[in-house]
Amino acid sequence: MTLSTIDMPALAKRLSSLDEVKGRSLWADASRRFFRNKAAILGLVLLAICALYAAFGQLIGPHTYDFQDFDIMGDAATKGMPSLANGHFFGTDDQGRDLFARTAMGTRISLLVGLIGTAISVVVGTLYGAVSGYVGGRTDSLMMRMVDILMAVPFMFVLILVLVMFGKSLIILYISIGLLSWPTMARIVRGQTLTLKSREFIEAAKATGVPTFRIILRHVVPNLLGIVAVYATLLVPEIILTESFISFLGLGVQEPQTSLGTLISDGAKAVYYNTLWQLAFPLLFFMMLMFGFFFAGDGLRDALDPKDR
Amino acid sequence: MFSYILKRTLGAIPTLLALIIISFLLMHAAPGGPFTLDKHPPPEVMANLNAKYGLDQPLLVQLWRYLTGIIFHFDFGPSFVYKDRTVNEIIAQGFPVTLAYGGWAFVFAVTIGVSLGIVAAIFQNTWLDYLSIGTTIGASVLPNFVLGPILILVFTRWLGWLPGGGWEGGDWRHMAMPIIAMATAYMASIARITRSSMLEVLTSNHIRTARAKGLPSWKVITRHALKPALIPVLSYLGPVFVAMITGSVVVDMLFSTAGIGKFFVDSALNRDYAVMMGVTLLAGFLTIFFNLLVDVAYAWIDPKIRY
Repeated sequence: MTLSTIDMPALAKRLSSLDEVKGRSLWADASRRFFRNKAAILGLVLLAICALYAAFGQLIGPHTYDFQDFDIMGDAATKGMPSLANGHFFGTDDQGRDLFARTAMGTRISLLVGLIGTAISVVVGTLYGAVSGYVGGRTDSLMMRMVDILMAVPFMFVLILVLVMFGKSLIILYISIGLLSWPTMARIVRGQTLTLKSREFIEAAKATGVPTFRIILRHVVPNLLGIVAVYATLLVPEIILTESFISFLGLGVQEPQTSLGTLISDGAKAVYYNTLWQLAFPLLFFMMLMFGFFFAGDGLRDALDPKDR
Repeated sequence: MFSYILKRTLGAIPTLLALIIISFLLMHAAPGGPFTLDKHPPPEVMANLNAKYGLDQPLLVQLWRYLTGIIFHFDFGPSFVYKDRTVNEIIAQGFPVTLAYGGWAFVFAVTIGVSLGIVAAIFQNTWLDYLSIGTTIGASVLPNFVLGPILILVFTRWLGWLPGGGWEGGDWRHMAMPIIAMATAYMASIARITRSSMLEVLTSNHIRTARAKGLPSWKVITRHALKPALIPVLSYLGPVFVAMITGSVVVDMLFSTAGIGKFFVDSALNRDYAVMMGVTLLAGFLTIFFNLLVDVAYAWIDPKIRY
């Protein structure tokens, strides 16, 4: 197309009538990309189903999680089948307890462990990494050396050790999982802080005399949120997996409370007695949680990754 | 190269010491010692027991003894529960079993995972790619304690092909299910890592050059693409090998294979701290050792990496 063929006055008119172009923020951009990703949406839907079930599952069914039906007990293979008629939607376990309510409770506890453990690990890891990276120098190398040592500690064995020694309670489980899983987070945050440190706004804050710790909290940490969010979503399923593993060994949640790991473990033993539903339903929700977090986490990473434009 | 290995080995020593000291202190911070039983033996008996195991000494002396015992004699002390056995004997009994199925699981996870990843990368966005990625996503949400029961259900209950448990000196029929249960999740991760790094390598300049000078496709891949593509995989292998040992806890429970995991769970339930400590330290040693090995292999494969 040559220049002469363009209708210049018309073009000028069109340009002047155009609205001002709206800028897109990082988050708007990221959320647009996230919601275009079908796998990520699927992940969100799965998570929503699990969350709703965990929150209201125990209210829907007519049975409570710890009520033992003595008519069914000892004959779960025939009388404890899943049925809509007697209200045991997912059947019962071999002690006659309703699996619908128990699976709901297990899903709730697994979700809680995942979220609380991740929260602890995010807070500790972010602060540690930000301080280490920002202060730098000898403090930095000492702090990172400690992270190296912690990363060489066989996590699962120490977790079991702590649970055996200080009692098998939910609170200890939450806290120790959170406290043991922060080193990777600290590393990632430190790396990011190093690149932030030399930016102008940090320099400005320093020049106006803001104390170091305040700079870290007010200026460094908010700028780390993107990468921390991505890593946290990927950490949740890992922690749920860890909790299930611990509960599977019988070292986590205690009866009559339950978690998905305990339910799967019981269901695995019940495989020999033809009560397949005892394994199938907890497993279904466990896998939905895992898929959900994997897909949503992957989607978030793709959406926020600056390389992938 | 040699000085690098030496430096890394020396660097591992403080880590090991810290590990020993932390776990020793943990062991002693625990409420209830190994001899707090339901029955209360007379105080003289308790005093004798404590003296025999050195528990009446000050904490620092106990720590020193434990430390020197491990360093100079590779001796983790006596078991607190099995009175006639030392931790060493228990480890020596369980570890070879774990190593047998763990090693095979490692081999299968790496070979199948890497091949799947390469196939998926070469045939990107074809049905082969989708098939292998679908398989790996499915496998990655099946940790060993979930996969184990399913395997037993299918192969023992329904098909009746494989025995549901036992070891029998490592007969392959007894090894098959433990290996599958352990390898699957790691195979999936390895396949995913291989695929993404292979995709990255395949678009790089030296591959374009190799194609441009007319090398056949298979030669481009085996000669030029494979080695750089495997570097990220390599860094994943150190932790994986250790995870195989952790995984033995589940495998030993599900399949009644008498590996190190069985002793760990038994000792956890019996509060046999000495055995727990020994296994934990063993896992720590192996973590450090394999990370070192991976780093050295790194330096060897990638000449660009200089330390």
